[in-house]
Order: sequence, then structure tokens, then C-alpha cells
Amino acid sequence: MQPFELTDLGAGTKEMMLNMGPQHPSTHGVIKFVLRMDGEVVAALDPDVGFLHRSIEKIAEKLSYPDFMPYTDRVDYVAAMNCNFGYARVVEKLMKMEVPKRAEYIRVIVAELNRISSHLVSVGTFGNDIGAVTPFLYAIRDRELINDLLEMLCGARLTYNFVRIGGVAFDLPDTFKEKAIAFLDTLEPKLKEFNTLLSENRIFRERLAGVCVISKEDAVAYGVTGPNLRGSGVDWDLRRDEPYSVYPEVSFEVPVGGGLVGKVGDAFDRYWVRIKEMQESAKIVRQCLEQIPEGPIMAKIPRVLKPPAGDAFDRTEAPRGELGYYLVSDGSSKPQRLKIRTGSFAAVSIIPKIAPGWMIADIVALIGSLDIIAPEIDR
Amino acid sequence: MVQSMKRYVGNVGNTTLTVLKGLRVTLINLFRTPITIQYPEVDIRQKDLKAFGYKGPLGPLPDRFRGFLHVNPEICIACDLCMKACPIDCIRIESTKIDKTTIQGKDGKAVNKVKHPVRFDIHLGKCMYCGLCVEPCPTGAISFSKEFEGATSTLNTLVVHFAEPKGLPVREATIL
Ligand code: SF4
Ligand code: SF4
Repeated sequence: MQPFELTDLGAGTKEMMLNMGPQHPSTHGVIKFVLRMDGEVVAALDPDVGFLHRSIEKIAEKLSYPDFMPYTDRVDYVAAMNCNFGYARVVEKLMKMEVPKRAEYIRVIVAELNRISSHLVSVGTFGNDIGAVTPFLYAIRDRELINDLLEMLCGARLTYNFVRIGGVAFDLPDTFKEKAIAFLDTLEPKLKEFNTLLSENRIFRERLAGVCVISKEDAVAYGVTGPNLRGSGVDWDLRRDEPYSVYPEVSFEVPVGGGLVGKVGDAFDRYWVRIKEMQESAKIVRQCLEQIPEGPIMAKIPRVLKPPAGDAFDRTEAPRGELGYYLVSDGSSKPQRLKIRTGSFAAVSIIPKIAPGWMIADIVALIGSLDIIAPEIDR
Repeated sequence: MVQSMKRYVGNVGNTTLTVLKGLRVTLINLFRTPITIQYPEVDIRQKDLKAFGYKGPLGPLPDRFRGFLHVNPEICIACDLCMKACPIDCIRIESTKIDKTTIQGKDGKAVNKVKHPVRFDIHLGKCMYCGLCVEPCPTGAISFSKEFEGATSTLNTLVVHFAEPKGLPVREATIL
């Protein structure tokens, strides 16, 4: 990477180059930002990614289709269920496979629970970045209950490896429904508490109002997706606009940023969309638990999966934006090529565009509000 | 002048108010049941955490918990399905032919056993606890235990030999 050319500002002052990361608490993993600073103000910013590269896409070419499933957990370990889900869907699309209704419902339940837990981490760490440490502990406390639920379902707390090509690995345990509903009942008051603690706090609001605004046009042009796109006021959600799985059978709202305290598309809007989304996800889980039919949880699949030669692309709405898998098959039992498109990568690409002109402390707010995590950027 | 003065005082008042509201939440929380499980004083492998004096909402390890793998070589038919299913090849099985016996399978059906494992190594240091090896096993010989405390001072001890007569030399962890 080329170091910046530093301009002489006259009167004996000069621009300064600053390395932020790779071990910086606000970068949420190992990402490095190289900044050209004019005093406190950022003149230019260059993200340096790749510290967490594990060549997951290459590993896919060496493994059979079902064997790759545990690796998708590691694409985004904060929302592993959603990554499992996306991969299973693309292979099913390539093989033109029908998935049992019950399995689809279970997938949506776990994906939405995982979305809640992922957003809890996101808003918690965001508060932490801005300087509010207490709300982080509140968020982690509530996430622990989701971890317990998912652990009861599949035995793991983080890397679930739960969704299978053609269905899911386990059926819901007997007590799952009542425990999940009990959790959802407590989530609503706890979110309210969280809002009193953080979202309604005047200092927090003023700190984020109008900071690092991403305009509608920029967000679309840079391919920013998910809550970051909706925070900029674009009403677009794959779950509603390009419905997949059983999302057409449940009703939910898509929260969009509206400039609640500052301008549309500022850091607070992106944060607020996540808080709202948690409530909507809770609604979806409730409906799914009510509507879930009886039946098998796995489709009949051959012992060795050999999809026909060809390619398929499928995208789903993951907590950090659209998660796309592009799969090329040559008719053998291993993929010829797998490309993973993640929301964080697009989000990190817009930072150099937004950052100049803001103070360094606002860059921390920008990174936190975009909710980027390193494994998703690097894969 | 009076206007901006009023706004200033209003802002300060509002800020103080919202901070106090937040402090009220933390104060309430001071009187709630603690959610933290005091591991290792509380043994989370036991079913009943109340016996240890834990009153919070978290539960013990569930039945499906994925701890260290455990193998029962007596009912293993050495079909190698688990070895083939593992994405990172951390299982190694060698077997000999034996006289045919039948074993009760996982789904209730009888399974013929014509081979017996003489070597069944699992490298727990490499294993990612994904569970892909447990699923295809016809007899349920390989399963997850609830053990999870794996700290050890040598790498070799992480290679567990399940079907081996005692007293054989410990193999290097790298051979798997
Ligand atoms: S749990 Fe996964 S990684 Fe571990 S031995 Fe089984 S298949 Fe291999
Ligand atoms: S799948 Fe089960 S029976 Fe077959 S070799 Fe593995 S442990 Fe033994």
C-alpha cells in the first residue's frame, strides 16, 4: 500500500499520517485505516483490509457441498445462521430442490433470532465506541438468552452449522416454543430500557445527529445494503421486496431512517433502524412459532450431492446487508467456484468517500454505525 | 439574548433529565437477580443449577451440547462414514475383519458388524465441533459428550485414541 503524499500546510505545519488499527477497539476486528490528517480533521482515508483473510472461497473448491457448511459459519460469526441459510439456498437453487415447509419455518425462526442477537452486539458495541460502556453489558446480557435458545436447538453458541442443504439438522426441542416466547416477552421491555439508557440520552443523540451523513444516491451507488441502506432512507428489504422462504407468509414492517434527530442518513439513523429491526424480527419469530406446520425437516437428498453443471446466484437479507452466494458447478461433487458477496465489504468501501472533512472521533462513530465486522470483509 | 439563554438552560436541563433517567435504569438493575453464572463454582454440566444457588434465567448445558467427541469402539462397525464426513480429516480409523455380529442401530434397525476398529484417533485440537461426523453414524458409536475443558500442556494429548490397547506409545499430533 502506498503511503500518502503529505502536503505542507504552511507556517511550519504539515499534514500527518495516522494508522488506525489493525488493533483498534473501534474497528471491530482486524482492519486498518490509514488516515491523512490535517490536525484533528481527516483529509483522506484509506482502508487496508485482508488481515483476517482465511480463503474461505478457495476452501469451498476443495470440499464437497455439504462439507462446506461449517465454513459458512465463519463468514460472519456474529450471524452464522444467516450465512448457513444463504449457502443452503444457493445449492438448493442449483439443484432445484424443494425444502419442506417446516424446515423453512425453522430456518426463518433461527435467522431472525440470530438477527436480533447480531443487532444487539451491533448497537451495544456502537454505544461502547461512542463512550457509553454500560449499555453494551445490557445488550450482551440479552444476547446471552438467544445464545442459550440456539444452543438448546443445535448445541453450539456461535458457529451453529445448523442449516443443511435440503432442510435443517435438528427439529425444535419440545420446550423451544415456550422458551422462545418467554424470551420475546422480555425483549420488548428490555429494549425500552435500553432506549432510555442510550437512544434517548441527549448526549448520545447530539453526538450522532447529522454526523457522517450518507446520502441516498451515495448509498445506492456504492452498493451499501441492509440497515445502512435503509438508514439512508431507501426503502428496500429483500425479505419484503424479493421474498424468499416463508417471508411472504408473515407480516412485518421495514423500518427506514427518517432523520429522527438530525439529517436522513446520519449515524443515529443507522443505529435507530437496527433498534427498530429487532422489534420487527421479534414479530416475525412470534408469527412463525404460531404458524409452523408439522412435517419432515429434511428433503430427500442423495448421499452424494452432484448438482448439474451450471451456475446460480442467490441473495438473502443478512443483518449486515445482502449476503450473496454465486456458485458455479461443473457437475462434480465439489463446487468449481464460489463467490461470496457480503454487506460489510460494500460498507467499508464507502468510508473513504464519507470520511474527509470529519474529525477523527467521528470516524469512530462512522465505523461503528456501519456495523462492519472484519471476517465478513475478508472471508 | 433571552431566547438563546432560555434554549441553553433548556438543553442543560434536558440533558440532565435524560442522564438521570438512564441512571434510574441502572439503579433498578442493582436490585435484579444477577444473570452471571459463577463458573466454575457452579457446575453447568449438572441439570439443576438451583442446587448451586443460581437464580438467574440461564440454563445448564443442553442435551444437544457439542462438547468433545466420544467414541464407543464396542458398537462401532468401522464403516468409515464419520471419517469421510469430516471436512478437515481429523479422524483416522483402521480396522480388522471379525466374525459377524449385529448391533442395535441409532434408528432402531439392526446393523451388521463385520469389522472392528483397531485404531480410532480423533484430533480434538483440529476438530471444530461441527457435528458432521455424528450425523451419518449408523450405530451412534460417535457422539458428543458434555466435556469442554480442554486445556493441556502438550499437543499430543489432544489426539485421543479411542480403540487402542493400553500401553502403546503416544503418537505425534502431526500424523493425523
Ligand atoms: S465434529 Fe466436525 S471437525 Fe470434529 S471430527 Fe466431527 S466432522 Fe470433524
Ligand atoms: S460412522 Fe459410527 S460406526 Fe461408522 S466408523 Fe464412524 S463411529 Fe464407527
